[in-house]
Amino acid sequence: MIFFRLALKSLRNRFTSTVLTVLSISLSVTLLLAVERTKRAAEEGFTQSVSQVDLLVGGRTGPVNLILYSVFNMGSASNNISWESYQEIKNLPEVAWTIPYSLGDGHRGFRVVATDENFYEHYRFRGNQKVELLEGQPALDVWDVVLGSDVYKKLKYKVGEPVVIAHGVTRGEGLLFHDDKPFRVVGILQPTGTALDQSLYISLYGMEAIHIDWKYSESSDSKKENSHTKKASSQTELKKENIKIGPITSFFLRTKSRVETLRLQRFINNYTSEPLLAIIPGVTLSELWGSLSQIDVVLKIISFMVLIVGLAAMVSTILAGLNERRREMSILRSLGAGPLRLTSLLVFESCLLTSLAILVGVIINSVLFLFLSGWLANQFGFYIQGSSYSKIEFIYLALIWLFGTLVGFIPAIKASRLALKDGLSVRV
Amino acid sequence: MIKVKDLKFKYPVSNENILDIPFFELQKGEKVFLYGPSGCGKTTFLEILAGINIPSSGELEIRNQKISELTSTQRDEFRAHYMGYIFQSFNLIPYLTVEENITLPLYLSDVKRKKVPKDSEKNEVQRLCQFLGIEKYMTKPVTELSVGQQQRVAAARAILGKPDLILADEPTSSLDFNHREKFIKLLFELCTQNGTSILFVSHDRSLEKLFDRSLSLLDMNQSSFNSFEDKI
Repeated sequence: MIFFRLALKSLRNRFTSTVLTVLSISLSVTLLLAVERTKRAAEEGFTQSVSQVDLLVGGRTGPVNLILYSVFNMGSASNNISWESYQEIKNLPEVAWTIPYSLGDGHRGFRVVATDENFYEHYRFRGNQKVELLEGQPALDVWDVVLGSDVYKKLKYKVGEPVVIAHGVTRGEGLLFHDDKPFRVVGILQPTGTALDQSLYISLYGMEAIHIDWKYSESSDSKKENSHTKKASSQTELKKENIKIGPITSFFLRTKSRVETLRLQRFINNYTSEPLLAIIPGVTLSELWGSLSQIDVVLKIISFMVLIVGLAAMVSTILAGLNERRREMSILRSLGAGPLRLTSLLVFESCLLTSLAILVGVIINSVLFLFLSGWLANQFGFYIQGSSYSKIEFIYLALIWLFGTLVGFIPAIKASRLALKDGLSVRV
Repeated sequence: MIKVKDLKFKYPVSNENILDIPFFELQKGEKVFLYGPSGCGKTTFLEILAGINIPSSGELEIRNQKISELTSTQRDEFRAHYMGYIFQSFNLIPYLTVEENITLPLYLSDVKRKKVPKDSEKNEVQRLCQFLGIEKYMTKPVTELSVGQQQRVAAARAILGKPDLILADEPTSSLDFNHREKFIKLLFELCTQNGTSILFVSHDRSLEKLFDRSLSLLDMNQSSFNSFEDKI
């Protein structure tokens, strides 16, 4: 009890240096937690680009390739899925819903995704986040287009403005344009912090409509003007009912019951009328993140460095504090406090400082993310969510606490070895 | 109380004995004045008696306990239980109040605690402070006190818990003559009440007449190191 009082009074006596010590340790705790949480958020943001989907189906290719071109707009599809096969799988009794994706066109560096109403209804990311419209409505009619939030931010199109889509280009500026058939912006999506933000969305009908006649006008010697003058079918003449939808690129699939997933996956992979591939997106995304392990390693190294710097700061501040207190220790010893008692006093003190610092660090960290998460999401599309603390953070905190407490032994051993005389004689 | 025989002491780095004391004795309740010029080894001698320094050879017995038989931790405990040390530089803990400084030994020694149990602690400290004229300052931090008052706090701390022996190392060096005499008289009264022996060390012989016995360390010390001017 006397030690508790002594330690508290002594710390209060050295208020400024105590506060600085606690602050420096707590800042490194904050930094460590922030790095760890950012890392986790990056991983979650990546692996949860699409969720609540049981299977992703495309033409036969590699699983990673399928994910890359379907979800992240990287690479391109080598095979399509015929509309008939899609319909057959879609209408299987085990299937709850599907979201078809037809890809291949772009607009000023962003890709165009042709899909249907299920996209607006069923697409989920990061757990249970829904695709929502900032304004306007879903692109369900032939010439409707909805903008992803990044597209909207960069190109600043307003609802009602025309948009011309480039053929065959999903990245960079296009060379061939479907400028005879401009689309109209009907809606803008809320930011999601995923690849969804970097696409334009049209209906499957729209995708079909811009390509009607295209095949014929695009013969090797034809000029662009020709396609203009030809105008075999005018834009206004095209009605949904008249358009026959061709093959799609891929589709997401949700089963009615999760236990059907593997059976259905096998069925699709062995589908006889055309070569198809079905993958479980969550698994492949995790694998993909794992293969990007360098990011993970770099972030881990940063975390580790921060931890070391923080602990070093703590050791040095506690040791520096102790040098000032040699006299105090000697007095206590001269009054009969044996090495054991001095040790427990100092260890108790460093334990107290570390505990306080961890507490402050955790509070700073929580407050920081509370205030910053909205800003980060708006400004950088970086979403911090999920649980604030994971197992690894608790391990780090426990490690810091243990180390911080044990650090008290260094000065304690020094103090016990110190000749009593050293501290008792007055020195200037 | 104290028995010293053929006690020699040298610092580990030097070959020369600083102290070489063939014989010294102090009886229970006796008040002894030990004088000598600065640097002749007075403080070193006190530190040996207190178990802070260890003699290189010879015998040292306090309360019939051979000090050489004790480990360093046991020496710390022995000092805490049976001695009070008044340092030249008081050595009060700056962030504690007067009362907390005085009672500190009670929390560090169960022998002293037995003599002043928790329930009578307050009264005992009050009585001591009243006697020494510092009762007004009991709840003040020691840093707010004058040197003379700090001196009395140090004395109160040494005497609380009725130790068998008080070792005082020039505790009056920062007081003027009148205050010195007054301080020593107060200290003596307290020691007589408790039957405590005092070994009082100083270079200033003006106080020696107040003591039962007065000794010169230079006469006692057979060490060739007596040419103390060389030092410092």
